[in-house]
Amino acid sequence: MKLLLAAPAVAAAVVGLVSFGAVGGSAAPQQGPVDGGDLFLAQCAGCHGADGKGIEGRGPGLTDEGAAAADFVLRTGRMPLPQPHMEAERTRPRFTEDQIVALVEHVASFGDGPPIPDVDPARGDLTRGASLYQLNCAACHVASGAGAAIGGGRNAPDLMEATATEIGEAVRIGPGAMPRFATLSDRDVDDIAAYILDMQRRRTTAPEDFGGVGPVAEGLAAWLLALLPIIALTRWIGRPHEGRDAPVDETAEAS
Amino acid sequence: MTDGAESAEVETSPDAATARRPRRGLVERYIDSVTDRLGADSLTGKVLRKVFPNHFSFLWGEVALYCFVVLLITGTYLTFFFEGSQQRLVYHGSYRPLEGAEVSAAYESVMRISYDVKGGLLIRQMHHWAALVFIGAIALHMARIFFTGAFRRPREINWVVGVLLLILALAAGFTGYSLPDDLLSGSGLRITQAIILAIPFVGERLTYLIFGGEWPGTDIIGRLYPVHILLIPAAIVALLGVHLALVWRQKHTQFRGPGRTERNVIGLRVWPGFAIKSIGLMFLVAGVITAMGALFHVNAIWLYGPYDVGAATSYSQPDWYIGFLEGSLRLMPPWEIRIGDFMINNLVFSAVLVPGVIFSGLIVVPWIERHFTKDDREHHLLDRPRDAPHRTAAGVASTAFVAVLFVGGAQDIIATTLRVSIGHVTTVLQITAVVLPPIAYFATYRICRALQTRPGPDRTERAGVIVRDAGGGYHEATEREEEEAETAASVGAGE
Amino acid sequence: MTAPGETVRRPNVRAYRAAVVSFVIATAGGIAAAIGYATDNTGDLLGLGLAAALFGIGFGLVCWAKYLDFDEHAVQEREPLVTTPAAREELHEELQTTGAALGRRKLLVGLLGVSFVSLVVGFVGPIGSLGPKPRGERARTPWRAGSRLVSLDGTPIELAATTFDQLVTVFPEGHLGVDDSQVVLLRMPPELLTQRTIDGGSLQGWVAYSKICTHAGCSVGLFGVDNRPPDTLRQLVCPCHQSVFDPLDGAEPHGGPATRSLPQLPLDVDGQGYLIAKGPFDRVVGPVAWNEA
Repeated sequence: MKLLLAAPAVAAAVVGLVSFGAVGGSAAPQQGPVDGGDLFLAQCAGCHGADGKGIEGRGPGLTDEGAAAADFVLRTGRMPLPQPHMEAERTRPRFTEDQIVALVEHVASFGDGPPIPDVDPARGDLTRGASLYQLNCAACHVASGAGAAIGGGRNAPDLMEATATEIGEAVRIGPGAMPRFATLSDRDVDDIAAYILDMQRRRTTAPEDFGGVGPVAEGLAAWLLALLPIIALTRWIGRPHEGRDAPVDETAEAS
Repeated sequence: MTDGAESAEVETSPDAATARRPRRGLVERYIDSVTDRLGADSLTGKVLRKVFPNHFSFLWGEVALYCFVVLLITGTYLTFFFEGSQQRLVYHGSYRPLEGAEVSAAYESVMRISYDVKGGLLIRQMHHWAALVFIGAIALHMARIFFTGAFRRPREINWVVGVLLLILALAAGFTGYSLPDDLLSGSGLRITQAIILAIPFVGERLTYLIFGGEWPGTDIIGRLYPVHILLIPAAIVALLGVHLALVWRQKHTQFRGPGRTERNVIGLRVWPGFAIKSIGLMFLVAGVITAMGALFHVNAIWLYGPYDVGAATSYSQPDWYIGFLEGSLRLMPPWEIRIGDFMINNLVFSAVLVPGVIFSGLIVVPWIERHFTKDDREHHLLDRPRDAPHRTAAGVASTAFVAVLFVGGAQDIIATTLRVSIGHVTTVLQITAVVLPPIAYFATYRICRALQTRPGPDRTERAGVIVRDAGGGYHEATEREEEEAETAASVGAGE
Repeated sequence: MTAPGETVRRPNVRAYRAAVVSFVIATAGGIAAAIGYATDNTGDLLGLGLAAALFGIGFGLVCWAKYLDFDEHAVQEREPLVTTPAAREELHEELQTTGAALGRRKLLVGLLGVSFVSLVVGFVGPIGSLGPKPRGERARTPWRAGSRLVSLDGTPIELAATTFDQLVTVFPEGHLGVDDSQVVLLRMPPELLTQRTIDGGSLQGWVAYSKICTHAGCSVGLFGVDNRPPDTLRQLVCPCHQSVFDPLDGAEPHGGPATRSLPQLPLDVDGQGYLIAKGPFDRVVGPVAWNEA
């Protein structure tokens, strides 16, 4: 009896999940060639205006953002932003590959922004990259790549999922609260990308590194993982086995 | 000298003595030959029979001691590889992102220990974890001494020695983690230099003496090295000797309980029970530290990189035990006192006054207690914290203040995790630092009083001794009256 | 040990077995550690093997002591820690005798004291060799009028670069990596700069500040900039204690513990279009001493 009642509920849930998953939120399923213009009007114009010049109080203009910016925010799922004025964060991309390419082309056509950079970490020098990362990136993104609060309620994100192209794009466009690093050459960007990818490979924010947070996490670990067990052990050691009712053994110290 | 007759006596007496002594095995004869030369009466009388009381909190001082033993052993091993010098050289080791980089010899040697010495990383990580646990154990031990009133007469001297040991341990940790000359600890050294610079009159000259000139100079790592491996450990060992000798001489305190009085100690004799348990504890502590060293990375200097000019990292905190100072630096509002060309710098408030008050307050605890309780008697029986509500409340309030400082040291991590602005976190913690201690005092006091009136399932039943006073009324005995009654009873029993 | 009338302990089989197993694990641990070292498994096998060995020995010893053979309930009397009146008298007499002897030799005592002080004074010299006397070096950095701004790899900065809200760390040419000359160079929309910043020597939106935090000396590397309205943000934050400086307004401290703004380096342009310093800093960079208010 219960199974009969449960089956339709389960079926409805499965259908709902599948359709939601396939749609991925607000993007409409597309078949055939993607029209960037139409997609922009449907998904982006609500905040950025039909002409990409921005709408006061909702979204900035995209005239000089260029392909790099559009590609960055779309591939990292930062856009579309659920609400205006939220801090954009990396999530699952909402669009398919074709849709992203089409949108990027459309946004690039608005003006004269930077193109998608060509970043090749294989060309990069790991040592130069480490040094450049330390001087330019560690102050916000932390030496381990874990990311940190930077004031004003903003957060520099963790870098463990960034691709080489995304790294190059971010350096050029300065997304969110990040400044632009115009004096970093393409070679510098290759080096930095090589280093960040190396950190990802070495899993510098893994649990055994306490998320790359540093001495605070290590101190907490010392208390929770070492001192607490040691206190428990002293409870075990210190308690006399037979208790206070054990036979008394008078032993006088020779004065 | 010996003439024939005497030497004859001398010759015969060993035979006679051996004839009188029963046959013993090799080990026993060896021990006999040692004790015959030193005199073993005090060994059997005083040493082997000395009694140490049982309570798990009494073992925390030993935990600290055994962490120190691990530090000495692992530290000695590290000194065989570490180079205490800021001389520049080029890194050629297994860690690829540093290949060809120019680093100091100190940094290079710690990288070599971590990546190219087989087992080096384990020993290094054991050393670091041992330091983190060492100071935690000291803090727990100190808290136990405070909240049970074990620092009272006749143990005031030992309390002061203990606080000095804590300060030395903090200094050992600070100098130790600064030795690798990495970005994180280098920033910490720079902050230290700025603090010393801010000291009125002597600050600049002092920094020039310590650092050999302007910041950063090329001397400081080379100078911290002998301080860390020789001066501080020697001072710790000396003071530890005094600390343990005093405990030995004055005997350990104990909690109240059946049969326990101010005049005796009940527990285990040193040999065999206490010693074997203690040795077991040493191995367990060492085992926990080794497991931490084997499982977790700590102080990943390869990620921070060498200390380079112009670089900085976020999440820039020192090791946990310096966290109270870090919090003081971060939470202190931007106050400065300026008079003409001169100033009392913000750093004087946050980094000289605050720690100065904390540590001087710690040192004079026994005398503050005596001032408020007017109690100058010897105490060998411990209080349960609830039995001294004002002391416990004061301790909890002070701990609460220091705890807020520790939390303040991590204010940016809190801001990131909770997704709020750093400024908000700072303001909230600043207010908490002022508001929480009095609330904690009041709440703790009330809880202690409430617990006092409840008969506990604990070892000491609050039996509620009733005393009749001169006016004929009855009241529940105060602690002093209770102890006087106890003393009178034991005297009456004919000691 | 068992005297008449004393209770006989029950043999504790569980504890015995536990101790046996502990020691066996300990033995295995030591061997595993040795194998780990030999096979280059210095992470888990060596470390955990050692940990098992240590833990096993400790656990076994405690089991043995606590449950098997060595637990007991011993009572010891404390000897009173008092000095008998006779001993106290004797001590005081001794002190008095010594005091009287010293009192008779006032000149010797005085000269001894003076000679000790003189000895200490003699040692001041070698202690002073630990560092030179400060001669105002901290008030001077290598920046001069005409010093070209270069990044750490030696590249100079073009005035005409078009990117705004950018950040670069620069040093004076020929003095790369000198600590007190580290400068953070920003380019921001010139219409947003305050008069104070302009007077301090900004140039077409280029602004240069000393990178050394005036609180405690860390490098102020954190430039949070978001020019998308309405939450525009431009601030320099020091990652050590979260001091916040406003780069649009002469790096005035706006939050956190810093009390002094970052000194501004006035800028100019040379014949080839590269940025140069117009002059040195007008005050001491970084954290200051008590007489440098």
